[in-house]
Amino acid sequence: MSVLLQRNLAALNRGVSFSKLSFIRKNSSAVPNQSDDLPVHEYGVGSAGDRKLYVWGLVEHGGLGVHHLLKKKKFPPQYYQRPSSHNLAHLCKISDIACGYGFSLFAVKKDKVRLLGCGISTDGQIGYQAPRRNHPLGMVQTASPIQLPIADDTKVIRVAAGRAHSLVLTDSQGLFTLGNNAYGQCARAVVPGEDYASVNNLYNVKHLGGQRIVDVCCGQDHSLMLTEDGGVWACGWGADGQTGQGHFEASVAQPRAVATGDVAGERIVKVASKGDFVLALNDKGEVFGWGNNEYKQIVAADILQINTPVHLKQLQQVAGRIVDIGAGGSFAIAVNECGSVFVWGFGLLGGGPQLTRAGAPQRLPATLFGGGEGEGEVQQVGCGLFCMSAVTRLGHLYMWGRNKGASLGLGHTNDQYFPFKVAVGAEVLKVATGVDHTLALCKPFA
Amino acid sequence: MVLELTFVVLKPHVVKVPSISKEIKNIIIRNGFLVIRSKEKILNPNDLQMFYGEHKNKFFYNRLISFMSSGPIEAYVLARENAIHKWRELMGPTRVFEAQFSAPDTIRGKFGLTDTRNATHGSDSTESARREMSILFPDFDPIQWLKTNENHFRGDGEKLSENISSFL
Repeated sequence: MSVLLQRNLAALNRGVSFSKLSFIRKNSSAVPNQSDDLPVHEYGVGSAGDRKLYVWGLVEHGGLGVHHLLKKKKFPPQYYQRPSSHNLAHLCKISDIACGYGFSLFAVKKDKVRLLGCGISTDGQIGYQAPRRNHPLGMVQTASPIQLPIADDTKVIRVAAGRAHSLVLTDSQGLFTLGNNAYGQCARAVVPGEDYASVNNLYNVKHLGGQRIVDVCCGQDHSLMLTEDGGVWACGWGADGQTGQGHFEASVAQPRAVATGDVAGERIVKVASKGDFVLALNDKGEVFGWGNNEYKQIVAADILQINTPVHLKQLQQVAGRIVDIGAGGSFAIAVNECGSVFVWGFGLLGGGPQLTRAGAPQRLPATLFGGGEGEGEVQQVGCGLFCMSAVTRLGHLYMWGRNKGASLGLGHTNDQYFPFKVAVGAEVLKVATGVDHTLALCKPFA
Repeated sequence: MVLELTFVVLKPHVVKVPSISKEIKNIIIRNGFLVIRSKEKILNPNDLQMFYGEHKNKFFYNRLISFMSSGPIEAYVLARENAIHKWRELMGPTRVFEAQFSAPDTIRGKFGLTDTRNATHGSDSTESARREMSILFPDFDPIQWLKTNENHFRGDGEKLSENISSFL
């Protein structure tokens, strides 16, 4: 025993990691006194840029891009009920992911192809995918390249996906929009009766009000852009007030600044939207909201629709400084600087089967996120249309809500009434939740 | 039993998702509905103002009209015994966020996205069915059809619907 301890200490002094120690212990016990001279096996260590991609949910619409794994199976599964590692992350360096309604987008770093997409494409939301000329596909089952007219040194920094439209943000050539434009969500004029799938057109927004665009976000049928100076711009469907323009006009085809109400003059750092309402977070940790309020998912007042941004005072009183937000279909989620999670609205909020309606923000106990000291601390939160997700400081993913198409990845298709850890075999960096499928971009453990 | 006519619309967001529109058509056939007329059309707001005249003063009127005119819809005239009631039962409650808990196995509970994007429309009474048919199928006369054609479809519904399912 003492020999082993001595060797371990010697190894530690040489800076050999513990994984190697077990190797030494196993292989050198036969000739103990020669162990220091034996060659030490060097395990490969991943680089900081390595990523893993996990996918789960409904297979049918192709949004998971797993057709190549299933095409030879006689009875392919209807759902991926558990996270499944996708080989796309090994083939190219993925920098961002997005989930729409039945389709997915992947931004790729330093490659000929900068953007990949798979899933439903009946509105051209994953570009013009036509292997046969003039016969665009309505559905693409494996991740396929989307042609972008960008220079070689331009990077795709952010992708976002709505019900049937996509936003692709580049670092130096502005924003590209593709897909359905029935309400102007692609930031261009609405053409009545346009067939979005049959044309190979991308629309480019270079800047908004002279400011560079730094972040984008998609609701179901509206788009939100964040500029460098902290301004929010919106376009698309506004019948619930989700464009924040002070009116309920159905379509806003030119991006307009959201600068009325409580949001005026604030420096916004993040916007979140999935359904028909929007939450925005400013640099002071205050949250603002506008859009549909039928389920009290913005404020507890009896107003059905809000077209002018309001400050969520009640949330600030209860939670203090907010660091991340998520806005789903009928509920919202926020996490404060202490890592405590707050939920409100209507749906499976995560506080057990009784908590389905909450006007005021309800705190979810830290025990549900792994508890312990510093371990139940949530860092990131997000919402799908019907489910919620939270990522803790250690990179563990928790999900709960309606389990549409097994999109919670818990190994079953039942609804989940409280946060439950998803078996993702890596450190989760970003989660993208669609309607019935989910993607997670992760960093390998080693 | 006498056949009844109802009017059904698949809303724009469902028409654009092939797997779901196929599934809803299967539900129509499986439940013994006969497809009398069908049409795919992009509605203009004027048609819709007639169509949804009863909701004129509701807060969701504007968003309903703008949603329904946002893309092609599929309209059907369906016949079955007690068709109106049966279809509304299959369809489920209007509000999707509540329907997915109170009636998760209905069409809206399964395929609806939000309260407006609630997958399908179905007439709530014989009068409204007639009115809605006259807007989408102006050349189809439901009263005349019930008088002259209805007895040909009665009884053999099962067999006929199987034939139709092979076309779909």
